[in-house]
This record gives sequence, C-alpha cells and structure tokens, in this order.
Amino acid sequence: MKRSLANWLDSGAPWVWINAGAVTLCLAMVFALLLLLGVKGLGHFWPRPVLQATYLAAEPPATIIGELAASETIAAGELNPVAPEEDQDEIERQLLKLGNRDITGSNFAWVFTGLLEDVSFPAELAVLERREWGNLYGYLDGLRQAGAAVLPAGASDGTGEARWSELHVRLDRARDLRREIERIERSIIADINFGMERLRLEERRLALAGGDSAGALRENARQREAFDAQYAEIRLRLLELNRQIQRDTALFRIADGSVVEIPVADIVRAYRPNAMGWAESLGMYFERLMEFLSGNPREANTEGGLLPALYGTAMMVMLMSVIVTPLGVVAGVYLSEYAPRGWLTRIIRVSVNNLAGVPSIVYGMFGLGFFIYLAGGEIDRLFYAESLPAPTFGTPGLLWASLTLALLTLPVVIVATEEGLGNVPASLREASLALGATQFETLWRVVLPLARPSMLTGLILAVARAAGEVAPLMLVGVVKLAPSLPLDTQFPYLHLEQQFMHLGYHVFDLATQSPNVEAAMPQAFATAFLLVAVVTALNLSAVVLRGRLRERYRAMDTGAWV
Amino acid sequence: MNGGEFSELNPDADGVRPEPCLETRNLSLRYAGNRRALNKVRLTIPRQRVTALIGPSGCGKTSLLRCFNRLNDLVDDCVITGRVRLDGKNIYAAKVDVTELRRRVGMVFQKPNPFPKSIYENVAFGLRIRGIKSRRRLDEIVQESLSAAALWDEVKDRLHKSALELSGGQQQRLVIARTLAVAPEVLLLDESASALDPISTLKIEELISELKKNYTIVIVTHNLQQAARVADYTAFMDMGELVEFDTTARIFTNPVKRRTEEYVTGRYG
Repeated sequence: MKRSLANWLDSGAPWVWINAGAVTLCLAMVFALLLLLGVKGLGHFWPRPVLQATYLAAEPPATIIGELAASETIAAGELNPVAPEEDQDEIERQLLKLGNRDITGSNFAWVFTGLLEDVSFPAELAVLERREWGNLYGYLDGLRQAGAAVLPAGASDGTGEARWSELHVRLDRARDLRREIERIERSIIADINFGMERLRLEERRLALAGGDSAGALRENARQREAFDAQYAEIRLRLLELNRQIQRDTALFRIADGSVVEIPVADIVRAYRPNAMGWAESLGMYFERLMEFLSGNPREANTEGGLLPALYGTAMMVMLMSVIVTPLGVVAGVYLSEYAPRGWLTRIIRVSVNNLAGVPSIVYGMFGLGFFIYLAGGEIDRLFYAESLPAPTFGTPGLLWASLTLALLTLPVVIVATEEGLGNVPASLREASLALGATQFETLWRVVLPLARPSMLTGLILAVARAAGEVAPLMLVGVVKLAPSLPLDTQFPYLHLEQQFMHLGYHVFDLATQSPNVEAAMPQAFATAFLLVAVVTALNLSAVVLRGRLRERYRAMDTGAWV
Repeated sequence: MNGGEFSELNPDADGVRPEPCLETRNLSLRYAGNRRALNKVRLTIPRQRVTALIGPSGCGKTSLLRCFNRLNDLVDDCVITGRVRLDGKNIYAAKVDVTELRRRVGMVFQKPNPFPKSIYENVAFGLRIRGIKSRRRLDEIVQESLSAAALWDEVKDRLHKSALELSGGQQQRLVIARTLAVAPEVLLLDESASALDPISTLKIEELISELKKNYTIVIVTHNLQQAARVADYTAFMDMGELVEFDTTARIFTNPVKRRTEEYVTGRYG
C-alpha cells in the first residue's frame, strides 16, 4: 500500500490533478462572473409580469401593484421590528418595484410574501416607461386631447382595446413631434449658438489686438442681428411644437385607486406585460435592448441607453490607437533592430517593461499635470486667448484622455512589436541580405510583414486594456453625463477638447454614485456585461491572430513540408 | 593582377588552367571571445568551376564561405583581417558597396528559406529590390531563373501559390532560382543539399553541374561522395586552416598531406 502511494506520487499524477484543479477553478470563476453579469444584466430587458395584491401589513390593508425585482429568505430574528408571523423561523420577502415615484415618493418596497393576499396578474395592468420619474404602474382609464375627453364611455369596450390603440396613435404622434424638436435643437439652434460664439470670440480677439476694428465690428453686429432674427423665428416654431406635443394626456388609475394624468409626451413606452405572449415579449426585449445600445440615458443614467458611453469609449480607444500604434511600433523597431546591444539598451528595455506595471492612476496624475495643466494651458494661452479665462484645452477632455491612455498602453505595443520582430527567423533576414537588400529593405519587405500579426496583437491588447481602464480617465476627461457627443456636425466635427462618457466609468457611476440604487443596479450589470463582452471580444481576436502567426512560423521551422 | 598567383591553380581534368575568381590572402577571422575560426587562409577559387570546401565540423568552411559575401559583417564582434579579392578587387575595402557585392556573390543556405510569399514574388524579390518594376521584364526573368534552376516545369501553373507549399527539394531549387534572378557571378552553396532526400539531392547536384557553365560555384559539404561527384576542385580545411587545395581527383586519390588522406579515406574526422 505504502509502495503504491509512493509510486502514485512519483508518477506525477498529483501534480496533474493540482494543475487541472487550478484550471478548473479559474474557468469556474470566469464563467460564474459572466453568468452573473449576463443573467442580471441581460435579464433586465425582458418585460416582467406585474403583480397586484392586497398587502395585509399596511394599516389599513391596501392594494399594491408592482413588478417583482428580487426575493430572499431571511431569519425571523434579523427583522426589526419582529416579524409579523412569530411562529416562523424563516420568512420569505420580496422586493417589489412599485414605480410611481412622483406620486408615492418610494420606488421599491420589501413585502412579506406571506402577507400578500389575492395575488393576481391582471391582463389590463399597464407599465409606463416615462422620460422622468421612472415607471408608472396602473390601468389606462382614459385619454384627453387639449383637456377634453377622447373616446367617451360609450366608445370604450370592455377590454379597452380601442383606448389602447388610440393611445398608441397619440404616442407615435408625440414621438414624431419630439424628433422634430430634437432635430431643430441639435442642428439649427446649435448652428446659431456656434455662430454667435464665433462672433463673440472674434470681437474679443479684436479687442485684445487693439487697433481700428470698427468695420469688422459693424459686420459682426450685422451678422448677430441675422442670427437673432433667425433665432426668434426658430423659437416661435419650437414654442408651437411644444404646445402641440403637450396636447394629449392619458389618465391612469393607480394602486390606491386615484387617477393621475400623464402627458403623452412624457411616455417612452406603454405596454401590458401580463397580456403579452412569448413573441411579443421577445419583441419588447429586443426593442429595449436596442434602446439600451442606441439611446441616451435618462433619470441620472438609471434608465434609457448608453450610446454616449459606448460612443465615447469607441472614440477614445480609436484616438488612442492612432497615437499609440505608430509610436509603439517605431520605438519597438528601433529597440529591436537598430539600437546597439549594450547596457543602455538593456536599461531602456527593462524600463519599458516596468512602465507596464505602473499603477494606472499614476498615469492619470501625469496626464492631469503634464498634458492638461501644462500642455493644455499653454495651448490655450497661445491659440485660444480670446476665450480665457474659460479654458479650451486646459481642461480634461477627449484628447488628453486618449494621450494618457496611449502612454499607458505604449509598453504593451512596444513589447509586442519587439517580440514579433524577434520571432522572425534569422534565416529569412539572411536570405534577404544575401540577395543584396539593405537592412532597411529587409526590414520593410521581409521582417515587418511577418511581424505584423504580433504588432496587431499588441495593439488589440492595448485597446482591450484602454477600453477597460477607469481610474486615470476620471482625472483626464470622463464625466458622468456629457451633454453632446465628441463627434458631430459642428465644425471642426471632432471635438478633442470635449469631455465624454465611458463604459467603465458608467458602471462605477451606476453602481456607487446613483441616488436610486435599486433602479440603477440592473443597468449597471448590463453595462458591465457589455464592457466585458467588448474586452473579451478584443482579447479573443488577439488570441486568434497569435495562433495564425505561430502556425506560419511553424511551417517555416520545419522547412515547410506543409 | 599578380601573374604569379595563377600558378596556384593546377590544370583541371581536361588539362585547362582556369582563371582565378575569388582569392583570399592571409585571411583570418575571430569571433567574440577570441575564438579563432580562420587562420591565415590563402585560397584561390577558379572561375566557372565547382569548388568544394570539405573538412570536419567546426573547421571554418562556413565561416570562409560567409566571408565571400561579407555576411559575417552581421555577426557582432567578428574581426576579419587579411584580404578577399573578387576579380582582383578587395571586397573588404572601405568604399565597397556591400549590397552590390552580395548581389554579385549569391548564397544558398543549408535549410531552404523561401520567403512566406508566392513562388513568383520569391524569385522577383531581388529584382524589386533593384527597382525593376516592368511587369514584362519581371515575368521574363522569373521564367528564366526558374528554368535555370530546373523548377519551371514543376511550378509554372502555380506561380502565385505560396512558396511554402513546395517540397523541401523544390524550395531549395526555388531559393537557387531566387539567387540566380539577380544575375550573380558567384554562387555560394552552404551544405545546400544536406537537408534534402536523396532524389532532391541528386537534382541539386545535376543543377550544380549545369550551372557551372555560367557561374563560379563554391559548395560546402560534409558529404565526400558529393564533393567527389560535383566538384572540379576541392579544398580540405581543418582547425581554421587550409590544409590542402587541388583538383578533386588529386585530393581524393593522391593527396600530398597526411591529414587530407586520413580524412578522405575516413580515418579522421
């Protein structure tokens, strides 16, 4: 027996088990993470049934309506005051999303499952997603147009179908009007503002420069008048549109029996989840998912979409790539191909490797101190003197964030480039040189094309790192809510000085900075899932590229009997 | 040119005394760490003949070969003294254009090393480097070179396929074609058939016999039969020194030095 144990130890089997165990543990943790994020985040978009019940714990017992958000079982002793049913050790309770925050003040409530009576899921129960104040739960009771009731009692049948189709017609109308309003605000008014700002800066520049500027000032005044006239006209049109959009209101009977009047323009979406079939739910799921990916955030980011964050992340990462790729590749090529092999090169190489380990917040501090205050401040003094003291580039913004992250990811690109160049077989370099190619021609025509995949790998790893970075960004340009996208139709189209939103920071903001934690939580999970998905996809493509590269070299090493 | 140096080359099997092409005088080479690879080598390579360099491993054959196209320049801390003359001109002189030298002195390595490009682009590589852009001209030279390397018939239908799909022997002939494309005067073959199967080896040997009509060829080989088969002249080297240099027939049948005799009869090395 002893002998066989010793044999077992000698065979190395325990090591194999330990290694396999470690791998399993790692995989299990990764999958658990993805599963948690996926279920919590992606489940959020599925329309959940809304419950109506009589809650006995209230004094007097009241009707409550809400969406089931979570449930848990707790020990009775944990509760304070002591649980209503003393004979039980454990009590099940549920978190209900009650909505109607503007009316009742509270959005979520824990209720004891045992004290719910007459639980039902009425088909007519409606969920209203609103532009403000979150969801509203209730029954559609009527429609009003300019204060007068539409579809009087006689026209409404038992199920209220006519009322609902009328509501949808009016929702569509309101949406079209809102689009028009947004179009005017985004393009025409923005143009006017931009023009006015330009005039203001020009006048200030003239004032700073001194000298005779009466002619220019007259011309400016003329232009300003034109802008003012245009603005007055647009303002009238906007007022008219706003009047029109406020025309319709909908009446909803809520849990306590009272009827509230909601402007149709405030409703993003109205539906009856309990009456929806599987296919309809799926449609709603994708509609909400699309809104999440392509809409603007509402209600302190707890609802709506994260397009600005997605957009900001993409813009920053792209700018960073444009900066870091040439710099990193050229530096890597020099270090690997041209730098004399000596102690100085060794020190530089070690330093580059160590840079990859510097905490990212340090880069953030550097970006703030060097890029923003020093470089940005200097740029403002030289080129934007007329808008001082308001800083243009001397403030956190897209350009500085991209530069800071480029610096942060530079070591990754340099190391990957060097590695790729080092992996190119010496026999190919010799072949090229023996044919009369110079060192540069060899590099350009033979070595660099072969090293391209590993440079790409380096870049993708850099992008993945940058996409997930948060700490330095908080110092150099990311904000909770950016009023406009960094790329738009206003000259110069790409606004490098603007602050922007970022997925990583969005998660941080939702998870910890939101005033309405319960409401923000699913959104935080969904955002985190999206972030993980983006970074994972980038890393996977790096792995695939590396695999292809290795295959190519393997073919070379064996003399290529492929 | 120093007339006295002709005398070093004995007449070949046909009784013709060839002209010298490459000459080394007092050539020594030291690698980093003071390791001496060549010691005062004095050798004359005959024009348009095949010269074999034989000798035990580490005797300096390959180092000598790589002196002829200055490929040793790439090795760090490699010190070369003495002279190497190509057509009477010192190739280690300061003003020599190394890339031009390497074009004139082509080299084929032990392992086939085609670029991971198409067959066509492999052959055209040296031409593109030299700035030849005309499609017609490229096509012409590619075909000529592949024909000269006895590969044209095998690859003419797949010129734009990857060179890595060829067999080892075909790859080696492709590399020879690639070298021929830039029109060198000298071909250096560094054990170029040693990694190949017997049939491919035979093909390469036939090719060498064919090519010597137009090129001066220097081969390094471990295979004495091969040297005996293809070479007109043979140099035996040992410990970085040139021991004996003569026509192949004389080296293999009637060597002057005892070490040579021991080596070619298999008693040494």
